[in-house]
Amino acid sequence: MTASVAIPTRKRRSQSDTSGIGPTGRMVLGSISGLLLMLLIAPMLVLLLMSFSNADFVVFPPTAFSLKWYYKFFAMGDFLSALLTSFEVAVAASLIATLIGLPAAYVLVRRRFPGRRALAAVFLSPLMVPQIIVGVGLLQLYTALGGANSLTGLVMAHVVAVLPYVIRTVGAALSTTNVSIEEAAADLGANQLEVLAFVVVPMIKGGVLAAALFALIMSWINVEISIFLTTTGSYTLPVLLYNYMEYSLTPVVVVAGSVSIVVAVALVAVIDRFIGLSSAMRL
Amino acid sequence: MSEIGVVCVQQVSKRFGDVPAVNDVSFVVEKGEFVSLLGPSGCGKSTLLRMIAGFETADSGSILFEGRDYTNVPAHLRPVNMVFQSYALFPHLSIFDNVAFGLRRKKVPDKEVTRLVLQFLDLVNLNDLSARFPSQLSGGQQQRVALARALVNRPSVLLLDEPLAALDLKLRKKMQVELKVLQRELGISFIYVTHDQEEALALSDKIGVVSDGRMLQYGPALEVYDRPRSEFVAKFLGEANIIQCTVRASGDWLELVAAGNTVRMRALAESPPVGAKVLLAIRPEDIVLSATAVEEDNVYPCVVENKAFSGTAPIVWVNVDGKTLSVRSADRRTFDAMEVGMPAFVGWRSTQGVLIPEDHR
Amino acid sequence: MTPEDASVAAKAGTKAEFMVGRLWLLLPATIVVAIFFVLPVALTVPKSVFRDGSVNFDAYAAVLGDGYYGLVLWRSLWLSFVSTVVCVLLGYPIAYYATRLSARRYKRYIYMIILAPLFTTAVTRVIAWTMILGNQGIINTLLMQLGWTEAPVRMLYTDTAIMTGLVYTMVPFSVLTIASVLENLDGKLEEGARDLGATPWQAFLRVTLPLSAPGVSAGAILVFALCLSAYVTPALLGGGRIKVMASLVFEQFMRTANWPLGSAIACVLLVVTGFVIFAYGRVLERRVTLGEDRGRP
Repeated sequence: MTASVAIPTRKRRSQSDTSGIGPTGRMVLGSISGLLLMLLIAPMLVLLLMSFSNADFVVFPPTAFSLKWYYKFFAMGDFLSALLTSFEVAVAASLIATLIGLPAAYVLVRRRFPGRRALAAVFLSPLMVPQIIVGVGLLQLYTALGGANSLTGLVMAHVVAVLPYVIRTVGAALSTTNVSIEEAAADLGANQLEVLAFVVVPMIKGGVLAAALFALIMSWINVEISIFLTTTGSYTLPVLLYNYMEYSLTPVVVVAGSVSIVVAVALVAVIDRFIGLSSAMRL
Repeated sequence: MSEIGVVCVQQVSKRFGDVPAVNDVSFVVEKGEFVSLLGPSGCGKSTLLRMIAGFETADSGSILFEGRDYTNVPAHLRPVNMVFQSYALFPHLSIFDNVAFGLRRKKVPDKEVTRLVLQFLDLVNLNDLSARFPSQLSGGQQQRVALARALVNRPSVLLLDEPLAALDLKLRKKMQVELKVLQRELGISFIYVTHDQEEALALSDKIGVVSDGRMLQYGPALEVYDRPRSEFVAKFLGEANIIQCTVRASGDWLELVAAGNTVRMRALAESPPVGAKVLLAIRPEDIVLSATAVEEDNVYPCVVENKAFSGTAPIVWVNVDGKTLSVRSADRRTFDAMEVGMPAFVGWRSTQGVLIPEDHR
Repeated sequence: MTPEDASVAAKAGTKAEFMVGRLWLLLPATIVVAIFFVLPVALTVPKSVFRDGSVNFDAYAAVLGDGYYGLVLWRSLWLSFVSTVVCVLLGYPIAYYATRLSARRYKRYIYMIILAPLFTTAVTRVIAWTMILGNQGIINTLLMQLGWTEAPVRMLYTDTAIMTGLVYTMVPFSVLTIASVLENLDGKLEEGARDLGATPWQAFLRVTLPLSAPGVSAGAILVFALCLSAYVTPALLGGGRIKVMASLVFEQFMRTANWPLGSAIACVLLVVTGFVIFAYGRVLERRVTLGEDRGRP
């Protein structure tokens, strides 16, 4: 670490390196970060590794490897039906959330009106309000209205839970485009919907896709709300896993977990491809 | 000036928060006129243009097109089209589709669309580029696409928001000529926003000088130039030497006194009373400078303060009894002969110069 | 302020007041959110006091009277607090490294690694940690093989297990919020400090740290709120014995079917979380929440 007072003249490693930290300091910080990052991946890697174990119980280290439990996983009826339910719900929720979230984000970003900040806060609040409260509230609401276990009810609950992600992502995409282009479209005779359909969406289609994918994954992994609104026969995958885990850890569950990870990583890569992760995750 | 005209702006005002952006502005644009809204950055001219286009709503006043009130009509239903400073081309559409956009909104049949698009691309000299995309074009080319895209819809008036600002000097001058020719050919009224007074003078039939949200003067370009009605206009449009004088005698001839010197002026329709304090504006190009005596109605001895060369009109600053005047002339010999500190003479005719009221601060 | 300045200022904050951008486009989303979010959350309160058509404060009497609930609340707050602190301590170096010191192309991969756990369900993370912390898990197996202990060390179903799970879940949030703060921080300020004679460490301590503090606090508050509301992780990693507020609510609704009591506990949780969110809003005063973030401290 340098102790000199002179203006550093060493070449910068990266654009934003303004810290002036010398090679030693950099190495230390880098190692710490590297270690922490490894600690972050490690559990997932462990999961992936263990899913290939041949043993009948979950013991570490695995002595033999095979795809045995993968076959069993895909053969089990309740896992398959849970997978299917998760998929249906996620696709439906994602579509609806994108469909209603896109125009909402557009107005919130482009138009000033009284109560705008408050409304935006309400739309985004599912991120901060405990999901358990929403789940419990919906359970009571649905029960009062006659049925607490409908798929539609579950889908709508997911829509509300993933809407903030859609609005955030679309909002971020919109803030990078030039308003004049939309004004030009209006100037040329396009009405509200035409501007959205023919100009805005094509310009931000990467962002819209990313928003939809975001919504998809967030719905896919949701357990906190789903647990209240599903029963036997309509479990989503996370809820089914939860039920299994309440009893014991079996290899099938491990496989389910690792399938989950693969899907997550794939989706992260796709989102990065489309709008770049740095802009996607602006909290 | 007819009440109707193509565009009639009546007492339009708008504020943003506490700040009045446009303050009681009125003017009329006739058919086929090229009108410039001229003013410094931030004066409200762009806001005014946007209100005519329909992107901002007026707090009060009205905007009429051919006599019909469009004040509260949304932008997409107005018979105007705009060329934006940033061109605002649709990045995801080809040049052809960009230009065709407005026509397609009006459900013009395809054959007709093709014919018109190609015709207007030809008009702006971009025939072969219809399949390209905006990102593949230069700034100048994009600007022409923006023009074609707007004009193809045959608006009764075209609005242009500093369209040439992003181009380099030579290209800008070239485009100015092309714009003027285009406007003449098509016979469409243009409302052109700019801060460049040379541009405004070169292009316009009428000029409106805007400052701090107010329209200070509106009229034929030469008239606004020759007879500015305020200090700001005199100084913003062209250059002006402003001399504070007191009226000593009025009547057929006006006699003004400034720092002990007398200025004689041909009387005007409304001459100010004796004793009044006025401002005399005289343009640098109207002043004659010479090392030897000058034969003019008004002559004063002076001392050369400074000089600066410019290709077309070199400028010399002289000091007359404590007041600095700037003189421009194309005469190289005189310019070369001038040395700093040297005595000389300046003068002007009694028909030159304009009296303007003091600007209210 | 000139007229055009005001217009630009208005535009920068709100985008031009535009004839397009019709309010009715908000309608579908507003209706959905009103019915499926605002309504259920708002119902929590009345549901806790209305029983069979009459107002009944029994549930609250039970909650506030019984010391057990106070204990659970205290545990929830404590666990969340410690987890938050650890998250910030772990998150800051990673964020600093990612934003300041890593080359551009590595940044992407770092973000990917950080984001990936967020895209898995909470249960998956619990599965992984169960395998690591369990009696037959990795750590115990390793310890026993190395001869460092005879019997497996009990790690699962403890407070520590819960905190580990929470930290693991929340570190990505903390890294991302801190990274976002650091990205917006003008690096020239650090350089300026060093130009005036500060060492890199001093520059960090005196300039970067204090300037990033508000944003980091906002992130910490967010993490705290999320920890408070978590129940899957504490329920599974804490086992039957260790309970937090959220898992109590879960129990009352799904196991004991005592909905009024559950609602009462949920209300308390809502109020506490509400406080936390309110604090978050205050700290965040100038940051816009719609992806228009241009804030500089």
